[in-house]
Amino acid sequence: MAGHAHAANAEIETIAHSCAGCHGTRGNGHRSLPAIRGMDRNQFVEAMRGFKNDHRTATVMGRIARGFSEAELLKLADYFSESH
Amino acid sequence: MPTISRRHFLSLGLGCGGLLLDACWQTQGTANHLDRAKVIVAGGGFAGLNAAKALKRIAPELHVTLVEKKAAYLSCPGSNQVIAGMMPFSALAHDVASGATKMGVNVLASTIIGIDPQKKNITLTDGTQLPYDRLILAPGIDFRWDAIEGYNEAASKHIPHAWKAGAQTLLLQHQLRAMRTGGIVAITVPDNPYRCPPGPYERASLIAHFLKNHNPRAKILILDAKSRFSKQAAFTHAWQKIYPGMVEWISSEHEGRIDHIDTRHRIVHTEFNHHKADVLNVIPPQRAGKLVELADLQDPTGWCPVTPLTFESVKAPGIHIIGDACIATPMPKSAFAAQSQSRACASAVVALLSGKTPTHPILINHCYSFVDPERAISVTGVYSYQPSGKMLETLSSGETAPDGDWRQEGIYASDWYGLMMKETFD
Repeated sequence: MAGHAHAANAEIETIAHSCAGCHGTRGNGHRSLPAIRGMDRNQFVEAMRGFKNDHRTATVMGRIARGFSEAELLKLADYFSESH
Repeated sequence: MPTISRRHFLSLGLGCGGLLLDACWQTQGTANHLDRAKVIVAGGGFAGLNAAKALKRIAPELHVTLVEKKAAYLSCPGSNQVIAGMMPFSALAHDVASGATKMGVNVLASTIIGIDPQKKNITLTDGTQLPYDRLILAPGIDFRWDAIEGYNEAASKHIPHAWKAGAQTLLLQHQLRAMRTGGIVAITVPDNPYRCPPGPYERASLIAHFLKNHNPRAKILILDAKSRFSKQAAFTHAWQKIYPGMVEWISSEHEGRIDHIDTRHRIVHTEFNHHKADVLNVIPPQRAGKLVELADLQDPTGWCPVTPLTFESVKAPGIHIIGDACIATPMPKSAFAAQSQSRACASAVVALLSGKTPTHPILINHCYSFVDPERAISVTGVYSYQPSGKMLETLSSGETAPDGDWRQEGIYASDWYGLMMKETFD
């Protein structure tokens, strides 16, 4: 885990950690809490944008998505779509 | 810890490949290479265990030691369900060592009796001294037993606080079951900050659920040191709709604060009134766990000021404080916040040990409260580090509306609980 890969991922990993509280450390989900690991990039971005502007019905994800910038959710989409 | 300069390191003739050379460059100027660095974590709760595990996940080569005296941790989340008979007491108990040990954390069943921030070492009860490069303290809370006249640790043996899970949880559970028909349960709630801000109101709701089925003429009084509270709109709605006439919330604006408690007769004297209870649950004011006093890390409020980028103490470099014990305003003191802070702190500690600048985390708190066995409401906050003020700012926040989907949130709340226990202890 040393070297370039670690350094390049550190920033986004630090942000992705925030998802772990409900979706698990690696984004695997748990029962009704959806897995976000390996999620299609576009699907992730569309879902987060939908939560942000209330176009997508949710109990809690609207409050959470509004805390992330467009740049951050694009990076998160890359991060989780590339995690297998 | 022996220091090693980069020049010396290269002159050792180690076969640095491209990747390793890059790693060497990145760590220049620090004495520590991660495979030699030692991090000690104190506290086997949600903050401490998640920090220790996150450290090993981010940097498997790091030496991580977790000090926790208790073999089993008793979870506060879930304890209101136990009080109300919705969950067995045994479900709160979790083995501290097994999950962390599997990840390569060295778990020591001991207590820290000394911290030397200058020499960077801790002393255990048997006199053993252990050096650290970074120390992470997650001691949770202790009670301020001198805060309410008439109520102290001895009184809590028959008038429970039940704000740390354990015998206290069972004491309150038993008293509710033994209460006379039509009796009054009084819960006193402290001013902010305290562990689990919505917890007292979840407790009132679940006790109301129990009483509705077993003692329906009974009533619950909440005597609050505050004039508003977490998820107030939804809780108030729940009490009116699900438990009409059973739960009364009395704000400090109406009666003033608690003046003193007559524990012998179970009477709470407020500034302008008094209330006699059949079952009295006193949630005392709190402060950081006593461990922090070993290095004088608390401020006059009793909590520990930190820079909420790294959670490093503003009073003692090299020592980080996470979870309920630290001041991370506006984040509340909750298990969810503790695990969020633990991951941010672990990332920052690895960065610092590698000679890098810690990157800015996003922190989340998301707390569910059950209002009956199936329905839950929640409050959420998303936070980032604000460098100019060296504090956290709220990026987004919200709570469940009175007309929200409480049943769906109840399903999420149960599954979140399962996930949290799995992540922390497995």
